[in-house]
Amino acid sequence: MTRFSLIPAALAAAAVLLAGSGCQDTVNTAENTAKSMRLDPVEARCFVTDNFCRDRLRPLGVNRTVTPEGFMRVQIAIRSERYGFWPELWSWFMGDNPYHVSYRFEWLDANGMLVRTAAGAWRNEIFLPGEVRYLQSTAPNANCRDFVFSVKENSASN
Amino acid sequence: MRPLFFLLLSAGLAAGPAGCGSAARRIDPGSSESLVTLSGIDPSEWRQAAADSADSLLASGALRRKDGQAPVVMIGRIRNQTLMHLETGLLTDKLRQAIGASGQAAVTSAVGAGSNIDLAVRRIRSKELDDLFHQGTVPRRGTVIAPNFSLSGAIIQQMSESGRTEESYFLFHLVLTDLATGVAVWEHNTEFAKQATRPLM
Repeated sequence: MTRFSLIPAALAAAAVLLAGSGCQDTVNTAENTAKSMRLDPVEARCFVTDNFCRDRLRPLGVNRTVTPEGFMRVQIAIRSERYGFWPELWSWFMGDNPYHVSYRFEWLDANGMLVRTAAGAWRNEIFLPGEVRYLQSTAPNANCRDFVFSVKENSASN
Repeated sequence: MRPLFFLLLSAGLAAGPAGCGSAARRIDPGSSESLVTLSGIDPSEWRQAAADSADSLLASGALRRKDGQAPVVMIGRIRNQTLMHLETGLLTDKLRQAIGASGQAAVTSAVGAGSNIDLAVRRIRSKELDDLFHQGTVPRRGTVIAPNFSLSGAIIQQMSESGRTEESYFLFHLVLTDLATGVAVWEHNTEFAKQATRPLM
C-alpha cells in the first residue's frame, strides 16, 4: 500500500472514531451562581488505590447535616470527568460510558467501632459524562459520628 | 477410517469446552463478580433497595411520635407484582434490622406478614390452662403492644422489548402508614432497569 492510499484510510478511521465519540450522551447543567444554601463542609482525607477511578470521578465536596432525631447525614458530590474530546473518545473505545461504579458508606461509633447495618451495603450508581451525582447516607443510629466512603469501578453491570 | 476420524474429532471438540468449568467458590456479595440477570432481582439489587429505603426512612423523621414515645412498627405485606416468585424477606429482614438498630422505633413480631410474625406470641398464651406450665410464668393476655405504624409495599416488574433488545424494569415501592389515622407518612421508590440484547444466532 502506498503512502497516498494510507492517508484516506487514516482519515476514514478518524472520521469513524469522531462519529462514535460524538454519539455519546453527556450531561449539560445550569445552576444559580448566588447560592443561598448553608453548607457544613467536611474535611476529607482520601486514600486512592485506583488511578483510573481517580481520573474518571472528581469529588466536588462533602457536606453533613444532623436530622432532628440526632442522626448524622452526609452527602458527597461527585462529577464524572469523562467529558471533552479525548476522554469521550477513550471511554467510547473502552466501553466505559456511562461509567458504572459501586459505593458504600460505613459508619463508626464514638469508639471507632464499625456499626453493621443494611445501609452499609455496596450500592450501584451510573454516571454519564459530565454528570454530578449527590451520594447520601444517614447514620444507622444517633451514636455514629464518623464515616468512611468507598467507591470502586463496577465492571459487572457494564 | 474417515468416519472414525471425524467421530474422534467431534468427541475431542465436545470434551474441550466441558473441561472449562470451575468449582464452586465463595465471592464477596458486593463484588463485581456477582451475577447480573435480566429477568430476576439480583442479590445486589435486594441489598441496594434495602439500603436506600432504610436510609430514606431514618432521615425522614416519619417515625417520630407526637407524645415523644418510641413507636412500634409492624412489617406488613410486600405485594409481589412480578412474573416470578420472590422472597420478600430478603428486603424486609434488612429493613427491620435497620429500624431496630436505629433506636428510632421497635419492630413487633406479634403481627405482620410472612416471616415477620412470630406465632409463639399467640401460642404461649394458649398455655394458660395447661397444667404443665407454671401459670405465673405464662404471659398474660392484654400485654402485647399494638403497633403504631405499618410498613408495606409492592415490587412491580415491567418487561419491554424492541427488536433483539429486552429491558426489565423493577420498582420497589414502600409505604409507612400511621395506623391511628391511616395516613401514609413516608413513601420511597427504588428503581432498577436492566437491558440485554439477544445474539443473532
